[in-house]
Amino acid sequence: MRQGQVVLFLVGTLIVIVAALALWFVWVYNGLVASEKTVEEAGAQIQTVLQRRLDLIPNLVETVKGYAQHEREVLIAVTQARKKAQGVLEDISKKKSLGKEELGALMVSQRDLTSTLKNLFALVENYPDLKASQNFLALQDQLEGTENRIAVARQRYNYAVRMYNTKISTFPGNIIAPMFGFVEKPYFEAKEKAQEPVKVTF
Amino acid sequence: MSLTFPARVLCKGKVPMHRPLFSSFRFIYDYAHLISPEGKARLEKFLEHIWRDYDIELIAITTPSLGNYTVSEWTNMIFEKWGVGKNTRGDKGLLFVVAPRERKVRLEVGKDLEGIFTDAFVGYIEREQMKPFFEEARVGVGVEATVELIVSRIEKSVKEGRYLPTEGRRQKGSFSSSGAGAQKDMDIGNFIHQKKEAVTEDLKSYFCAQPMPQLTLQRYLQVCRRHIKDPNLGIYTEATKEFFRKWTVTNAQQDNEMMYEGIPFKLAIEGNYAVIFYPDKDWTYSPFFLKKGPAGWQLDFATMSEVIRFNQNNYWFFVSFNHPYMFAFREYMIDKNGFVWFKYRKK
Repeated sequence: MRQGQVVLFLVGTLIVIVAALALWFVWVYNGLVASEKTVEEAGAQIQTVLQRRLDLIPNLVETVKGYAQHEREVLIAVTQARKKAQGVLEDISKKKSLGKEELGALMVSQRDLTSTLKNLFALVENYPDLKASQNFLALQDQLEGTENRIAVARQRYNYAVRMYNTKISTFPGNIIAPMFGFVEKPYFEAKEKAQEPVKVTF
Repeated sequence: MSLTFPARVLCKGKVPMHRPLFSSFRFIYDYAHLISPEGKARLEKFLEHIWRDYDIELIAITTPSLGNYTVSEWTNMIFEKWGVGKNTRGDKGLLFVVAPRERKVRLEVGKDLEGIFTDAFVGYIEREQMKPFFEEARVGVGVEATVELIVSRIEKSVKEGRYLPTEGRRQKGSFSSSGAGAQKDMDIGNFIHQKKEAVTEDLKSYFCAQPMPQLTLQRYLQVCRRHIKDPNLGIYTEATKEFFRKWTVTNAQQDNEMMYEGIPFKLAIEGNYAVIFYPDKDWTYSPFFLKKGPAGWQLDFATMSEVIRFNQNNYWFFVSFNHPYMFAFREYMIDKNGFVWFKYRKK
């Protein structure tokens, strides 16, 4: 009789402990999932603003063309770089993942586009009428605004990645993360900094 | 004021990372001491109306320093930390930052207002409206004049059904701003007076007093279209020339006058005075006063600026009935606030 009670007590305690462990396990797991979701949302936002940037470029090219038709090389370079960046962006949205490789490709394509844009803006300096036209000024504002959005989105993405990476590499996340395949996520770096006349952030 | 401000900027005043709980103003935070007390009081009232009428929270901050941040980074940080737009039904906040030491100005637009205040629009009002005022160190007036354009943009969007002040829902835990808006470089107090270029002799004779009031108005609209700032034109009365010499005229204001182009009007003439007014339009269309001189009809902005005011919705009203142009409104109802009701004719 007495022995049976002890066993019952031990078994009961064990059940409580296991239940508590399971609850804790679920809680940590949910935390990781939520954290990963934040990163994914921030990544999607980056893609949205990058697309916004690409959408502005045909208009910009058209406007510049109106004043500087014979500067074909620069204009063609911009159009080609845009096309390439568009392709990379579409690939990524098809794959629905933003790994190291994808981010790398994204950064390279955007950086190439930025350097062609720099040439374009350098060229505009030679056309004061174009530079002062309301259409061009508006486009410049839109481009600057979009680049600021990219900067904001990137900063929020990196912050979300930092939170997530810290979670999966510290206790208790580091125990649970490998079991469910949570892996470290890459940061989105900006290499080049502001250049006149347009602030370019890639 | 323009001469005393550099010394005042040196006064340190740090911008707190959270919106102050106790503050004399809810919408204006002048840490760089750029705006006069009367200017602040007037702006505060204006901004409160915008918040009440349109559910848009516009916060203006002047800061003595941006620290090591760019103006965009700083504005975005303060936007989120202060929760600009949290007192609206959605993320309908606008944050206006003036940093005189760094010579930067930025207007950041909350997520739910991106549709009506596009980056291009914000850039335009900063460049074409704010800048001339700021360069004359008239920061308070410049902000006010810019807010006026913001209001007319909202009014237009409401009329076209693109903006509904009563709509919108808070999203919990999300960001208030995604970094929309525009920034501009501005030398605050760089010029004491706006440079107003004189027009050529040919143009001067073209913009002379006209034989009919409506022709004078037509010439004036052409002046606006061409962004001519010269106050010494024949289409203005002597008092108006004097008035424009002191007044800051911006491209944006002149662009705004284009709304009168091609609009059906009514003309009333009595003796040497004429009024062109718009009974079929709403109160955003204020009347024009004209006076007949020896050379012809001239616009009398001097009297207009004295007796006509605009409320927070950009609706015009009379502050004084004691002027020679009242004859045109004799047959209409005028309420105690000075609004003319064209719908109601006196019997």
